[in-house]
Amino acid sequence: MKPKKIKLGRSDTRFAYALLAPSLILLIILIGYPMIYNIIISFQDVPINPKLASEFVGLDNFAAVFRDKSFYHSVFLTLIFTAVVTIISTAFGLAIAVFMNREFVGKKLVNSIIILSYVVPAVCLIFAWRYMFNNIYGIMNYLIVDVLKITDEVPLWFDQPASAFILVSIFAIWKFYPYAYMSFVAILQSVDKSLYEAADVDGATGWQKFKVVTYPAIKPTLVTVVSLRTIWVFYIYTEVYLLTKQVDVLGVYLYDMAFATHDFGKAAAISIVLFVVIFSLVMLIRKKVLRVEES
Amino acid sequence: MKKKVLSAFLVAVMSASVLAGCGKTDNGTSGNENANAGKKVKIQFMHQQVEQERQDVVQSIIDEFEKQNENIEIEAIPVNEDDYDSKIVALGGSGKLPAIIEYSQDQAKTSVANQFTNVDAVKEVIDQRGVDAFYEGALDVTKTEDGSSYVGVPISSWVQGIWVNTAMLQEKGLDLPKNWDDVRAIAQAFHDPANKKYGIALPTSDSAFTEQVFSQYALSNGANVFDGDKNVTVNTPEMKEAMEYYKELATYSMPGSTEVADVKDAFIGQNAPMAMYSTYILNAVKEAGFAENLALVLPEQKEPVAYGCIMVLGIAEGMDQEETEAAKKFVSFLLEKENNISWLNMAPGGIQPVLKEISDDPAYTDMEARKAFANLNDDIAQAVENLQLFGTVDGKNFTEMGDVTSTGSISKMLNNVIVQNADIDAELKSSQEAVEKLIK
Repeated sequence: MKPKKIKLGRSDTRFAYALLAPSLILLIILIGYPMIYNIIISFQDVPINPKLASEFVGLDNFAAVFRDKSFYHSVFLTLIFTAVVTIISTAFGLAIAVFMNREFVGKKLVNSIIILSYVVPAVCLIFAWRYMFNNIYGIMNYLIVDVLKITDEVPLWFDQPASAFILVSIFAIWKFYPYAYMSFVAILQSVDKSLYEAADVDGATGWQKFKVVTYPAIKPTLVTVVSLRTIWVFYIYTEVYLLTKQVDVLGVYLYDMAFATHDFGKAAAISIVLFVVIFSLVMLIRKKVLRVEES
Repeated sequence: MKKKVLSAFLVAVMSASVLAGCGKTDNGTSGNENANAGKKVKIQFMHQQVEQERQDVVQSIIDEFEKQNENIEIEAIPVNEDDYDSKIVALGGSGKLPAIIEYSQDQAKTSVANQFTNVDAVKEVIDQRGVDAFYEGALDVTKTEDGSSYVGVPISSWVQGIWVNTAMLQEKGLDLPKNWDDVRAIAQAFHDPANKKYGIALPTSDSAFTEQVFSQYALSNGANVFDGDKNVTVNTPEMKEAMEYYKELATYSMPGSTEVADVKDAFIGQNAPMAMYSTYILNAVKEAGFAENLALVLPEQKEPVAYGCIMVLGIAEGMDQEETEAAKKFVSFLLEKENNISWLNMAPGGIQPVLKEISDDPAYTDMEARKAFANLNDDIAQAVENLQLFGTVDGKNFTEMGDVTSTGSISKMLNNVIVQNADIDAELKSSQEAVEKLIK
């Protein structure tokens, strides 16, 4: 039976808009106004003191961003970092979710351990890692140099760009994979078990079952997880900045180039450029990689 | 129909609430509430003393002031150090700065550059107290860019130099270092990294702390970031010599990018006989039990140089005459000997006097918590006198130095040279260009 369509009269439509008005006003004030103001000040040299006039500088702020070689370095680094962290943390989360989608003794305990890195405040984890990899008294150096005697030289973990990039990536994957895990566990529990039984009867392999049964079921969640994680990792700042000064991802670049000197105009210009980059990236991933059809 | 009326009423109430929340609550000038003329003048005082016992001291000073000045009311606003910069920017940006603000000299420079501070009112307070009453170094580094006024009224300070564990030196029959060569020789004598012993604890990370410590060596060799005409002078033979020396000294320090905690831990743990640190190390040394074996010396090549921070009180621009006069009166009150000692006694060992008459005053020296460091009073006073900073040259304080520090142009160069083994000449050239670009 088709659901009955409810026709709204003109007065009801007006009344509906009136009811929506407070929310719309809030949205315009809290989201619309800052966005428009951000675009306006990206063309200005803005002093902190509101009594001093802003100066219109045209496209100077944008030109300064595009002239800066380190901007392109940061974009390149951020794209690699985003790809590595998003792909591995999502795949890892999915693999564990598939494994955990069964009953066994101690499941609740394992579940708690898995989500631990996600629920503990980032700052605590960051300082724990910094202590672990400290060049003087870190436990990693103690194990490598004093216990296992692999080398006499203490590796400078967070001081070399390559090792720092690898460590920060591992940290981010470890910190973020529980989000993917929790999302996938929730959706996997709703998949009809009889589909797997039918696949078993047909003699399907594990991979075939995943491809034919699991993947179609989790795809909407996968799209959401990948889109959100891409955006979040792309703008990552705290974790990277507090762990090392050797990985200049865009969040760190933005801080160094603009906020350290209170150059709000330039900061606004960078944020607009980043918005265009991340928006294009997410749309590309959705359409070309995950093949999502927008309706 | 009844439901519609009720809904419409609720919508109206919610809309009114939303709009009410957006309303402006004051005149947007200084954020100070001034009651009608002729009545009580109410002003705000924002400071960084957030601990309860310190707040009590600040309040007791305010109470005493209000007792003597019945027409003035001071509202204290303690703000955590970590939130201080963003609070200043946010309040300044919304035109609601308190009448009196406790600043570090760098924050004060930024505020003056943004025209948040009434430098005339500040100068009047200092002149009234007498320029000679302050340590010369304290006033030198708080001058405005043109040297005609000050960015704030100095109220306290902390200084930084080479802390030496004299007992460790005596064990090896070494004397206190007097110059760069002595420091190097002592560092060499103690360096034994296999046993976690280091010659000196130095910062090498890409941080403001590294720039501060290095500035002492550079300035003691006659190198500065600017000359008197604000030309950038990063890439000079004197700066290169200081960097080469600092790099060599860092080989006797802990490996990698070292920061505040690394330096402090190494010295407190007696893993190093020398450390570059501020007076804030004193209490930790006392707790570690070797306060009597502590000495403070300054890096010296051509001249001795201390780094330090002068805490100042800024008086806000844009207030009316009554509020400005009330603010001046309260700041002057804080500079009176008895009140200034109460202020300094909030953090014995950490903050130090900027007024000459206080260093030897029994009310200051005889405080129980400070007695352990009585032998250091002269050294610390000497350090305040020898205070020099990057960007302060020929009696001028270039405000752009704040941007140089916050963008890390100097500290990045140091970290690249010391930890990443980058070429000194190339780094000096690139840092020179970065600073030139910054001040354009």
